[in-house]
Formats: sequence, structure tokens, C-alpha cells
Amino acid sequence: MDETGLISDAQKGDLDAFNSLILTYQDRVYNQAFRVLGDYQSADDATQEAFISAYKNLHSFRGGSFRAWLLRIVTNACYDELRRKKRRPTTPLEPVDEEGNEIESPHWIADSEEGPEDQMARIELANAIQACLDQLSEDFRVVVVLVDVQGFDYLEASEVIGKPLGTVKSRLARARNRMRECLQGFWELLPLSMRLES
Amino acid sequence: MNISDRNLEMLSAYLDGELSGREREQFERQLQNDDALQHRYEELKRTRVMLRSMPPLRAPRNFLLTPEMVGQKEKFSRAFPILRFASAFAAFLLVLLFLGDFFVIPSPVLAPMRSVQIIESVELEEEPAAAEADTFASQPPAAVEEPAMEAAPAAPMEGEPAAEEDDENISTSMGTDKSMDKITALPTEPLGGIEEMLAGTAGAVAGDAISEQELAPEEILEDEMSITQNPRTILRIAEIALLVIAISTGLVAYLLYRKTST
Repeated sequence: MDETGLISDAQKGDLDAFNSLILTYQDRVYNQAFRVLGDYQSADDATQEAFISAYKNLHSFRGGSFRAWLLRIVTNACYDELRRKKRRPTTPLEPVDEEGNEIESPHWIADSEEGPEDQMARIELANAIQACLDQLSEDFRVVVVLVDVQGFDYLEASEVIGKPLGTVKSRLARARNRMRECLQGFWELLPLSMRLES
Repeated sequence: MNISDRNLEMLSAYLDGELSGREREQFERQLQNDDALQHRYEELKRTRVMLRSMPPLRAPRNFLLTPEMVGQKEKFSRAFPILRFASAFAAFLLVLLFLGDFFVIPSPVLAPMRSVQIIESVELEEEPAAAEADTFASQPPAAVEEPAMEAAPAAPMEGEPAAEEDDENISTSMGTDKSMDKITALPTEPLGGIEEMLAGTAGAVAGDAISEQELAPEEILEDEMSITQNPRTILRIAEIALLVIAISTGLVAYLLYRKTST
């Protein structure tokens, strides 16, 4: 069944149809939550909250980009989570195992085709990027993740954040400039193939 | 190297191809003439490449929703106690009806006893007539018990005059007392006529019974039964309805419980 049909069925209360939509979008939604929040547990909570909220408010979806609508919900869930985090003790940014030890190589970073050195460089770069993202203000971070990580265009990003196109342009430019400053010196960590492509 | 906010925005938008045709041409001319801007452009381009180099995260688990998560369980749990109560209440009413049916309203088991009572009461009512008839014949009780069916047809066999008298009695008599008076008024007649009179009296009794709509014991019994059976039928329907409600609501409640507990 196509996405429109699934949305229509889900709006009628078909939970299975909505779960099919979840399977389609959960990676993207989780990705957004993690890049904005910076830790796994919070990202997990925000993602789950976002899907629950999306299902309960599905009647308010009036067509258009379902992806943008969903990302808007998870972004709001992230803002809520960030407010909660400010009120309670901080949680580690790095993934930890069951014993509380930091996981050096999260499963999503591991690439079996890369050599150990490349893998290490990639992990170091990913950690650096995430650390720089975490230093941005929430509004800047949301926009730069939407456009540069998720690959949204400006119009879709403005739909997600509910602000005019000019605001997206402005926030993105400032966010990128801060990221540029923060990531200076990490260029060499980028795999050679990607550097040549650019 | 100081770059204005406006140029920074233009640079970022130019990088993403988000400038309109005219804006792009103007900015490209500016870019060609400004080394600092070109240098910043290269740096921003690298930054964007680095950001885009981040591998997309995979969700660590499926975030599928269950009915409990979206409050559908509450719907079940709200219906469950209602159904459970309805089932219990219907069962309670059913028990009450059974008890009331058994102790208060005469049951079919008790009906024969009632019929005996009715027959006895009828016998008592007709006892004076029977007692007086005893003085003329030795077998009046049979005639009294089954007057309409046996005694009446016997009259024409015994003799025409008696039958004619009977006809007169049927058409003119207004009650049992009158006919009884006639019986008591004939003790001095010969014995041969007594039997005829007795038969005629029995016929008159039957005739009186028909004319006055007085029911024979069986009819009285049937009437009694019809009176008691009508509410009994209603009760039976109510009992069946309650039984169906109790079972169906209980079954649905059980199924809901099974569904929500699994």
C-alpha cells in the first residue's frame, strides 16, 4: 500500500498501518532526535514520544509532506527533552554499555569495508561533529541537522520548524559558520575518497 | 577576514543552490572579485561535506506502537468492568427470578395438588345437591362429578317425560338452587320416577352450569392454569433473556480480559 493509503488508514485508527509508516521513517526520526539531543537514551525517548504524539494527532495532518510533519513533531519532542535535561542532571553524550563503560565504536559507525585506521578516523570525525553540533544553540542545531544531515531543502526545513524561509537561511548560515570554526583541523580525518569528491 | 552576515547568508544559500537566477549571477560576480569570500566559500563547502559525511543512524530498535501506548487499552479496560458488572447483575436477577418462581408462584409440579384442591372445593359446593340426591339414589357422586358429559345424555334414554322436563328445566331454571328445590320437592313421587328425576336433575345441573357459564372442575382448572401460565410465560422469557445476557456479557468480558492480558 502507498504512503497516502497508509496515512488514510492510520487516520481511521488502523494502528498496523501507522506501524508501517513508523518502519519507513523511524531511522530518519531517530537520526534527527539523536543529532539534536546528542545522547542515545534521550533520542530513544524523544523518538518514541514523537511517534505516539504523531499517532494521536494524525487527524491534524492535512496532506503535504508527511516526512516534514513527522520531523516537526520529533523536533518539538526534542525541544521538550532539552528543557527536561536542563532541569535534571546531565547524561553522558557517549554511548555506554551495560556496565557504564563508554562504547568506542557504536554500531552505526562501524563499516566492515573500512580498515581499522579509517574506522578510527571516521569515529573521531563523527564524535567531533557531534560535539560541535552540541555547542550550537538549539535553533541553529535543528536547522543545520535538517539541511546538512537529513538533506532537506529550505522550504521543507521551514515547514518543519514552522518559520519563514528567510529564518532558515539566516540560521543555517550562522550555524554553518560556527561549525566551520569548530571543525577546523578535522578535515584530514575525512576519508580521502570523500575529500577528492568534494 | 570579516564577512558580513548578509554575505554569509548569500554564500550559504549559493552553496545549496537556493538563490534565484538574478541573485546568483550578482553573487557569482562578487565571489570572483573577492578572495576572502572565495576562501570562506571553500571552507563552508568542506564543512558541509564533513556534516554530510556522517553516516545515517539506524534506529536501535523498532518504535512500533502497541494499543496500550496509544490508550486503546483504556477503552478495553473501561468496557471490561461494565460488562463484568452486567454479567454478574444479570446472573443475580436470574437467581432471584428462579427463587421467586419456585417459592411464590405455583409451579407445574404443584399444579396437580392444586387441581385436587379445586376438585375438592367444587365437590364441597355441590355437596348439598349430592347429599339430597343420595336420598333418592345410591350413585349420585358420579353424576355430580361428571354431570355435563354423562348425566345429560342419560336422561333421554331413561324416558321422554323426564327429558322434556329436563328441557324445561334447562330453559327456565335460573340456578342450581331452583333445580335443587325441584329435587327436594319430589320426595313423595314413586320410586320409578325418582331415577328419572335424578337423571333429570343431573341434566338440569349440567344445563345450569352451561347456561350460567359456571365452569366444570376441569374448566376451572384450565382457567386457573391459564391465569398462572400467562405470567409464567413472561417469567420464562425474562429468565431466558437474563440467561443470554449473563452468558454473552460474561463471555465478551472474558475475551476482553484475555486480549488485554496477552
